[in-house]
Order: sequence, then C-alpha cells, then structure tokens
Amino acid sequence: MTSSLDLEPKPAVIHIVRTRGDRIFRGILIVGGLISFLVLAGIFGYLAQSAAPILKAFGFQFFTDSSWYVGDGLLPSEGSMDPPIFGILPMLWGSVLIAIISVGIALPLGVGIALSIVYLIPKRAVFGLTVFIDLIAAIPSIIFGLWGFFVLIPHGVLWSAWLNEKLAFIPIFNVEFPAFEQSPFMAGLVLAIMITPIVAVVSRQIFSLVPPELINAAQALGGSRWTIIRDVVLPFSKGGIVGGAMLGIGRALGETVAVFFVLQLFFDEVNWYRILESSGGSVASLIIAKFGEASPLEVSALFAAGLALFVVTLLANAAAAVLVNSSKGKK
Amino acid sequence: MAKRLLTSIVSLGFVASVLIATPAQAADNLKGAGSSFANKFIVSCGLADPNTTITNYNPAGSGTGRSAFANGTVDFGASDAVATLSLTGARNGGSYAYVPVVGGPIAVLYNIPGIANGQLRLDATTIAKIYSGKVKTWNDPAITALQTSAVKSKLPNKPIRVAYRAASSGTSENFTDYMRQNAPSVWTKAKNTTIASGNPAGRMPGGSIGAANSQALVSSVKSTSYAIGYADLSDAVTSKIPFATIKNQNGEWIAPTSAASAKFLAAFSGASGFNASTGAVTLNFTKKVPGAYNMSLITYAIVDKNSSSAKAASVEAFVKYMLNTCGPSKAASLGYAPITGTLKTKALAIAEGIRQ
Repeated sequence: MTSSLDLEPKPAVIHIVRTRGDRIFRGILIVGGLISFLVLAGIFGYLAQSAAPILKAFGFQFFTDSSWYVGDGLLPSEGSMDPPIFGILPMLWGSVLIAIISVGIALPLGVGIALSIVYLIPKRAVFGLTVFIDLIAAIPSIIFGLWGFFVLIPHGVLWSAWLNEKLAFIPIFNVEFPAFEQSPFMAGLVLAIMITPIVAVVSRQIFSLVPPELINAAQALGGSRWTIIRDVVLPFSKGGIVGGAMLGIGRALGETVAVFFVLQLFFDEVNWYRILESSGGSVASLIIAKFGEASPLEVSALFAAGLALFVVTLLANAAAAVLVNSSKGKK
Repeated sequence: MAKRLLTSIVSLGFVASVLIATPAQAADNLKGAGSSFANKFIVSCGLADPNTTITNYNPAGSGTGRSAFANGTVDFGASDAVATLSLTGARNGGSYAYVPVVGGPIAVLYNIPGIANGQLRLDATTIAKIYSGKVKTWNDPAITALQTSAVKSKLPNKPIRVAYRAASSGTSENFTDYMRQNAPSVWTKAKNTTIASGNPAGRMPGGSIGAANSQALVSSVKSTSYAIGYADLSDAVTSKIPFATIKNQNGEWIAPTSAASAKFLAAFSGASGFNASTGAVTLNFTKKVPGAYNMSLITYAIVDKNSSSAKAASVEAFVKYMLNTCGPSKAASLGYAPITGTLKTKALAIAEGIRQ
C-alpha cells in the first residue's frame, strides 16, 4: 500500500499576480464594504450620543414605562419643577404587535404567491405576475397610507366589526369601545400588503432552489402536487421562508407614514393583544408625531426611541440573514 | 373633492418644500420654514408680492421652524408660539425678534345628521368635558342645556366620536391652552402640543380618532357620523363641514370667522398683552371682547434684529407686505385673521428694526 503515496498528486501552487486593475478593483470593493459598516456604526453612534441624556436620566425604565409627558422640558437634575416622564413600552410593543399581525397575514399570502409562480401558473403568465408583485414593492409608503386612510379603513371597519361580533369570545378580538378605524389590525393589514412582495420574492427564489431530482423522485413515487409541495418543497425551503418573513418584519417595524395614517397612538397604556381596539403604538409613528414641535429634551427622547427601534430592526434583519444562510447550507 | 383633499394632504403635510416659480425680476430669494398653520398664507403672500420671491417654505411645524431659524438654515421662521432661541451656526452672535404676521380662528367641526352649520352651540367648559371624556353622548345635559329648542330635540343618544390631531401642532397647543384658561376645573393639565399627552383623563376618550394632520382630521369628521373635531379655519373653510358657534366670555354666541378672530387678536396690543421687545403676544383666552371669537391663535415670523445682511432687507419688506397688503386683502378669504389696529402698528415697528 505504500506505493499509493507515490501516486498522490502534488497540490498545485497558484501564484496570484495582481495587476494594477485588480488592485484598484479590490480596493474599491474593500472601501465599499467598509463604508457600509462605517455608516451603520456612525448612525448607531449618533443615535446613542443624541439619546444619552435621556437614557442616563431614565435608564431602563425608558423601555418599560408607559408615558410621554414633556413637562417643563428640564430634567430633575436640572432643577425641573415639572419633570418629564418618557417611557416607550406602548410604542415598542405596538411596533412588534403590528409587525406580527402583518407577517401573520403576509406570510401565507406571499408563500402562496411564490408557490403559484413556481409550480402552478403557466410560464407565459409568470413574467407579468412577477412584474406586478415587484411593482407593489415599489409603491411609496405614503400612497399606502392614503390608500389605507381613504379606501381600506371604510372596508376594514366592516371586517373588524364582523370579526368582533363572531369571535368576541376570543380575547384578541374583544374591544372596549366598538370603534375600529385605527386599530393595530388595520395597521397590520396595510403593512401586510406592503411586505407581501418581500415574502413572495424571497420564497420564490428559495423554491427555485429545490433540486428538480427531488421533485421528480416524488412524482415517480406517485405524489400529488399538494403532497410534493407539503413534503418536499416546504420542508426544504423552511429556513428561507422564515428568513423572508423576518425581512418583512424588519420593513414593518420601520414603516412610518403608512402606519401613522391608520393607527391611533396611545402613549399611556399598552394595548397588549386587543388587535381590533382603536389604540396602539408604533415607534416610527411616535417620532413622526412628535418631532415637529419637540423641545430639545423631547428630541433626545425621540432619538432614544429611534435607537430602540434601530436595535430591534437590526436584530430582526440579523436573524433573517442567519436563517436564510443556514437554509442554503442544508442540501 | 377626494382629489383636492388628496392633493392638499400631500402638498401640505408631506412634500416638504413649496417651490414657487421665479418672476422675471426677482429680489433676494427667501427661504422660510415653520408653522404649517400659516403655510397657505405665507405661500399666497409670497406669490402675490411682486418684490419678493419665496423660493422655499417648509411647513414642517413651528418647532422645526424655530430650530431652522436658530441655526441659520432659513432666512425667516414662522412659529405659532414664542420660545427663547439660542442662535448658532450662521446666526451665531446675532439677535432675533418675533413679529405677529397673521392669526386665525380654530373652528370646532361636527358631523351630526340634521344639524346644520352654526346650529350647534358649545362653550369652553363643555368642549373640555367632551375632550376629557366626561361628556360621552350628544344628548348629555351639559350639551343640551346650551342649545336652542330646535336643536335640543335633534341631539341623539349617540356616543361622541372625538377627533384630534395625533401629531404635535400649534393648533393643539392653543386649543388645550384655551380649555385650560377657560375651564381650569375640567382641563386640569397645562397646554400641550399633543392633546393625547396633555389630556387630564390620561387618555383620549373611547372611540377617539387620531388624525395624522389637519386635512385628515377634516376628512375623518366628514366621514364619521357623530364626530367632533377642531381645526384651523383655513384648513376647514372649503370643506363645507358645519362649524359650532362658541360662547365667548361676553356671553355672546360667535361663529368662527376671520373678522371675529381679528377682533379678539387686536385686543392684545396693550402693555399687558404685547411685549414690544420680544414681539410676543400673551393671549388671554378669557378676555371679554365684544363680538370676538376667543379660540384664536397667532403666527409670528421669526426674523433677524439689527442685521446688516442683504437678506434682512428682503425679509423686512416681505413681513411689511404681509402686514400691510396681503393680510387685509387675502387673509379673510383663506380663513385667516389679519393683524389689525394698534397691534399691527406695533408689529410694523418691530419689522422696522430687522435691518440695521
């Protein structure tokens, strides 16, 4: 067996000779990569610096209190007679709640669209449909806000009333006051339409990665279209679909104008689960609502709220990246 | 209607800059920012003034206008309230003044089927009770007691749907200040730019509607039966929505008109109401002025004082134009109240000091 050693091929040594063009190109790529990181770090640093006075004064309570009271605009340490109280729990939880609602609606919708495009719809029609879905993603959010305000709310009120009437025994569909115009559900609906294209596009790409031999094998075993989708396509694509949903959550958390038009902000109490109640929160909407007339200290509080949103959104996007990458590894 | 509303929402609230075509012989091009309440007035005056070009007025809100003026990014600011500024950047070391340029009534709007414009009567205490959730239905004795017999029987046993401005605004600040001054036992909290944060009940009443901006509020009241709301007359004057008649401190029932509001504002030209060095008008909403509509606000131009810059001359000319020409001719039709009487004379005197 010793002779096999002689047969072992010698590894080839590749000498990289970088031409000037290569070096310039490499430099551009490195600088580009670093800039995106620096911008992110710079934004984080600026937010943290601007938020510092508030975070120092209120500490962790800023994230667990329910209040937005400006007072005389001075901190107690500055000799305030009427100190402000800032706490963004209702806004923070509201952002999460409407993101969950919107993904709950957009996930089945987006995955369904992606499945139809990949497996059901004749190839000739696919192009048109894809363009349509991409166009939805390109609509500016203020248009969604106005559309939600003028078109969706009048209809959504009827759907909400129906849900409330039939399902009031389930706590989440219960309300304290039967006004349904500006509920988390309504905001979730508008956001769902905005993020469905994201979920659909990501899912479609994942579905097209499913190896055709797996599908062929399942067909050879006599699997119906539904069983193939359920037992082959979806398990294979699970990670990618979840990743798409997390990207959608990232978008939903940061959406500002569209939500502000269709959601009533309550600063002093948390709406934990009553999704049809005309009361909710959204950090991004808080900022748009308060910035125009804000005192310097209030601006700092808004920056702190922005910092909280930035961290939550970053976590959602990071989780999405991890999930999408890990799903590619599983073959 | 929907189209016009849409256009106005987009243009007023969210397209930050208002661009105006440059006339052939332009004077200095002025940039301004601030009060969204005064937006229509300032833009109309800029268009009408043959000697001034406003290249950009950004109606982002009074607070934004004050900080934009303080750090020197605009030539003039506009604010619905007076606040001390610390000048930085290009304005470092300069001084500033506030000049009252225009005012206007805040109208109380309602949507009660069968009750026409001006028929509903309200007073400050009742408005405060409605907005703090103490009066919940339209046939509450507190409301019916104020009405004429014809209206009294028409008020239904329906919950009041309270509409308010969700974003911070000078309108909400003056509205809460009006309730605070006239009904301190009901509206126990200080004035606030956001009524939801400054509500003595701790929250808005059940069934409230938080409107993104003035136009959205008018639209919400229009489309929601049994709703009540408040808006600057200039934003509601073309909406054909009913306005409530409000009792003033003289006990008279007054409709929100440009003339009645101007009458109220003109009453603050005396030493107790007007600070000649800062230009601030201290509105006493409880003041007894015959024929006046007390729920009114003032917008100030924020300008340089004793400045030698070339722009200051143009700003001075434009402020004088707004007070002398544009206000008397255009304010009423746009739903604003012109600055009149002694207050106007005093405002012009401050404007005189803009240029060195």
